[in-house]
Amino acid sequence: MSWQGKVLRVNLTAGTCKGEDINMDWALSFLGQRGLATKYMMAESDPAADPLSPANNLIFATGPLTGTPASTGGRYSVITKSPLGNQIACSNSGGHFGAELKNAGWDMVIFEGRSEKPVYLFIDDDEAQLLDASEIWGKSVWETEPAIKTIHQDPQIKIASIGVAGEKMVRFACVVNDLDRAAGRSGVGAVMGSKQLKAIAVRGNKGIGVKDMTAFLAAAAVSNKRIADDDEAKGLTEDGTMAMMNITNSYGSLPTRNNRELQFDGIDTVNLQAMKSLRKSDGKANLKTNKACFACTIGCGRVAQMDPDHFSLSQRKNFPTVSGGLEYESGYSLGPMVGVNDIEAATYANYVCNEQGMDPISFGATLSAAMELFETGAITQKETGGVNLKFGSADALVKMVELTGRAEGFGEELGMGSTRLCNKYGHPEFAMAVKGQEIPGYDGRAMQGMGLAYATSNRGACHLRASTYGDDFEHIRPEGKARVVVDTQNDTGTTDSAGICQFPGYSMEEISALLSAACEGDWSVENLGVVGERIWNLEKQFNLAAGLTMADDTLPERMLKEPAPSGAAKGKVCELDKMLPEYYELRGWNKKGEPTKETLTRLSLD
Amino acid sequence: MKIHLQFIALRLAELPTEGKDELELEEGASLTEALDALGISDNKSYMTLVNESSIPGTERATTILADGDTLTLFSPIKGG
Ligand code: SF4
Repeated sequence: MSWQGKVLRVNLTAGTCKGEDINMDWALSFLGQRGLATKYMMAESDPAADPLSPANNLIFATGPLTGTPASTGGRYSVITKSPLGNQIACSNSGGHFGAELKNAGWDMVIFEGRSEKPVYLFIDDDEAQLLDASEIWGKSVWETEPAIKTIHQDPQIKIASIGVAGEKMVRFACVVNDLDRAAGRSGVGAVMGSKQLKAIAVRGNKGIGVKDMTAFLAAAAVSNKRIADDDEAKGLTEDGTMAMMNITNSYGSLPTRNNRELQFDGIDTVNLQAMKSLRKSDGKANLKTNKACFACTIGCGRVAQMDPDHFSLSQRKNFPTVSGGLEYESGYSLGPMVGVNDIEAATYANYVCNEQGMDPISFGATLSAAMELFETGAITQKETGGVNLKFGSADALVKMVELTGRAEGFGEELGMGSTRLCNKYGHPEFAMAVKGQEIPGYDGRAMQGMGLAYATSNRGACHLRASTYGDDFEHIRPEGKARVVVDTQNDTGTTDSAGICQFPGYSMEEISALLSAACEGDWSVENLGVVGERIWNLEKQFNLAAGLTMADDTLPERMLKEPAPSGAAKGKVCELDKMLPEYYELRGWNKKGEPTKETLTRLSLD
Repeated sequence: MKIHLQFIALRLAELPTEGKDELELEEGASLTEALDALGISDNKSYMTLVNESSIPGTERATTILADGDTLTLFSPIKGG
């Protein structure tokens, strides 16, 4: 119960779709979604395989709470090996696709091999088939979703697909569902493209059972009430995550112009107030309204309406002006990180990231690295195809997002990601990335805990693999950070494996109450702690088997060597060297950052 | 003495501070006294910056403010 008990195994090479029982021993140890799919990856997909080869499996996985009325219970994750840095990739999305997949009777879909020609997977409850996608290959996400709905004459189908960026294997391509929700990070869309898999389209009508409905609804009512009264959650409903922009700017942890600066002089043009203020041109605000994912009682998602007269739209006839708007992360990466003080241009770039299926964090941070290469003369207009790639150019942002989305011209080079791009042009130090994945909107000098979290995140730089915000905004010192990072990393392992979102700030007690009512197994708070730690260590085992070492547990040189130019951490660097040994020790790992035999035995991972 | 106030991402309508951007305090007042004067209870976990330095909750009582200081308050928030 709560798991559907079924895995759909799709062999793209052979063109077969077969249902099988889920491995319940694994589900009881690794819960679901992130944890359980990583277990399947570890057991069935060679961690040493080339991420873009047929030998790399690609898994779409839901959690036991996906599709239930628990608030935010609509999540799914895409798990594979990342083409950015060869590490485990695990990218989480909301919207309605995950709940539909679970409602069709499947906990997971495992893709193996590579199709000879473009295909999409169509699932109608128990029926699953691979269908020809040659007519939709080459189309954007925004063309693909309506095309598939038209083919099947069913507007209720839920679709996860890749755009041209994924087809062309842009290394930070993502998987987009419901037009503007995305499994955004780690290049999972490039892996999908390498398999010639355009989309998964699902219709699910089977329903989802829980073990004890009365107890489950009671547990959900308690957590839903707590979320409804929670100040942080209310703030997310009202302002989304963009409220963060003024905070990181005041604090001096807002990555600006490729982290050379940490406060943005154009902040008033890209913050929440800028989104809410009425434009002179048409009297409307950039922010139109908010929206929610499946079963979510918060609704942090932003819906934007662009200025129809903005220059970016002049060549785009029939391009929608209303779509998913800027969140803090896309706001930082398409604004301050590239020095652009034009919220309409940033919104347009965000639309194109959704349209063609690209991670806006990695795109923006890669463009900012290219801008630094350009300003220092390492590349010129010869490489950029005549585009003046200077920081602050809204024109360059608009041109480059279009080119990268189609992997054309200099966009093809940007599609390599910042690490490969900066290596190619002789300046690896300009890549603001960890394990090949570009950093989110926090600098590790003012936020030392976030620095440690980036360095140790199994999927590369990430703000959703630990929660150091509270401690970081109070203390700029290395002491005590390792404990915060270890504990919250373990918590994310549990939350991301349960099928719910991190934003409601679910306590382990709440998750325990929900899971205990919904599923068989021991989901005590104590065991959930072990499960979270086990998942973290399993991901680490995958990375070690893939050839990563402690040399990969590091940060961009800039954060380690260049003192913060302003803000609360002025004059300070990130003291990773002080935090990392303590982190390894707390994890029960040796000095080389590898889990010891005792740790693996304790977590039943040997 | 006068302290400048900055509130970021606080749900101002629910605070007794609405509309204030300055605060008059006795010379030598501490950060805790400033928060008391604002009617913001210390047990609510607001983050505090004095000018550009972050002041942890444990150091609020011993942090003495000076005329012209800027006190920035913001609520805990998760990124996304
Ligand atoms: S809090 Fe935001 S991201 Fe999370 S489920 Fe709700 S709308 Fe989606």
